[in-house]
Amino acid sequence: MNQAASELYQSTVLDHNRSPRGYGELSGTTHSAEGFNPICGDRVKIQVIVGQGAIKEIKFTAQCCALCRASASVLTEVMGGQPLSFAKSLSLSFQSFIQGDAQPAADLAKSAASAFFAIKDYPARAKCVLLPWHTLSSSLTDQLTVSTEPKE
Amino acid sequence: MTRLAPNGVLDVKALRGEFPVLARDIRGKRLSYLDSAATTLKPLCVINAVDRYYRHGTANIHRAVHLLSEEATGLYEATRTAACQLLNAADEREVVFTTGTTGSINLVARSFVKPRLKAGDEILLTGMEHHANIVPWQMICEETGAKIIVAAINDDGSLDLASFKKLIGPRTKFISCVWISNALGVINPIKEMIDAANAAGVPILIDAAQAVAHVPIDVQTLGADFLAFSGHKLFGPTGVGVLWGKLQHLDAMPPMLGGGDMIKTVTFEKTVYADAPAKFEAGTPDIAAVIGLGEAIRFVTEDVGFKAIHSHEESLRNKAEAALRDVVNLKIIGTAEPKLPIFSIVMGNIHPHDVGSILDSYGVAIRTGHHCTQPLMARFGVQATSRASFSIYNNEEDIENLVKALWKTQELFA
Repeated sequence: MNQAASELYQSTVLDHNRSPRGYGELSGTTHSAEGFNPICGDRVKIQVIVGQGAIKEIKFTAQCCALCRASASVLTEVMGGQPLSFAKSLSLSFQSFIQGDAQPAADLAKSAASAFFAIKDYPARAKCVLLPWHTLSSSLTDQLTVSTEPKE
Repeated sequence: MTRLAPNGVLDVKALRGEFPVLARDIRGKRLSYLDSAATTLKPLCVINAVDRYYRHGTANIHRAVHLLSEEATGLYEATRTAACQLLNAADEREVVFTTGTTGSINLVARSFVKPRLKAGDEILLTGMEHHANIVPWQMICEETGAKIIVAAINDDGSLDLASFKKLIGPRTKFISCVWISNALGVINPIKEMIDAANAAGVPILIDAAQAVAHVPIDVQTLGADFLAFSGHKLFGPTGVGVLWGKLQHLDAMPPMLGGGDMIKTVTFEKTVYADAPAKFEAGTPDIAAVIGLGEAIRFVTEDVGFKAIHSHEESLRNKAEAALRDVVNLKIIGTAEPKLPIFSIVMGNIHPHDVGSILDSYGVAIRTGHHCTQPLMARFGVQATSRASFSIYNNEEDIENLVKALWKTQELFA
């Protein structure tokens, strides 16, 4: 595989795409949201059970590309069992690293999400990776749907 | 300068040298540009024509008496003559410069069709239209209570011609249809469609955006009422296109934009509009782009020619089709002939955006997505496809690179 492809599709990413963790429906959810990218048609649903200030369980379903699916899978892995404050700061750090100039927080850099860091150099695909993260953020703030595009 | 070898065949190697972008290194790889259905690359002669206008002869047109303005006006109007010849139009006044196919269709929708519509009237389209040939009609339908009727597409991507003809009825006030599908490359039986419209006395517009760089166009033989194309799909600059319309229609149409250059006289009480085409060209147009389009038309008709284009593209299509057939788990949507070397590809469960990114990493530039034809994608039960589209500067190496990168994609997701 050549360099550009191997940066984007690291073995972690391919593995999560092939065997996504946390895939499926959750019963007794306290928070959920759907994310949609109208440009490519990607759809992600994130379901969460929050209790005692922490994400007790998190699952997703999706119809999307490999990057989006792997990203959702990694998201469920790194967020499961974590306090809400950690989830929010990790999400924020990831988004501002990918789309801005910020350096990744230490927790983020050592998490599985670092497999997606190369996406920073491929802005056309950044939305694919960020969609599940945006969707989780909006579910936690009780927004029911989120789009990668500005509201009409 | 001709780009044909002595035997009349396209000298692709020499031709490739005319397109500077092809010399670019893409992530360390040779560029295989297979996205000409989105926009064609531009030859040096076109780039130079645009550059020359800005560097050597900037001036506004149709206004001053100074030399620069006279030259600019001459070059601008020479493009009208060239477009008139390209389309074999009967009269240069039938050639209106617009911002592109989208601008042309919107002009006809607003100025020609909308005043004729009342509630219950119908506009007939086909199921393979580009959004640019759907949305403008929906907008005027919402305003008038008219509705859109859609002719069906067969499983092989061809138009169901019998259904198209049957749908032309007493309520049909206008027909607008694409000549060649940008998403599938399928070529419609445009002459039969126009004849059916003419027989019913219904005016018809042809969206020739995808056709103009591939087939010769003769509007007098075709017999349509309007035809639209964009310069950027004909090796010309972006931001310029042509609306051809029958002179009696253009004369009867009100202008859409008021401003300079579209008037005969202006007082605060009343303005007398200029005749077509000037009345549709208010304000300072994209003069450089129009001049570039003129050079593009000269390039395609004199240096290359549609006969050589056809034989080169047919050869590419046959070779690419055969090579793609060997790739496992690959399906092409739109196999009906005749068609252009445009391949809308679906690869099992692999998402087109992943295909696009892997191909990009091999220097292969394709388009992924819905190609501005969401209803057509829905017809075939897909959200998106990976589309490889070929043009005159492509060669067998591009086919090899495409197929090799598609195999790599399969391996990666296996």
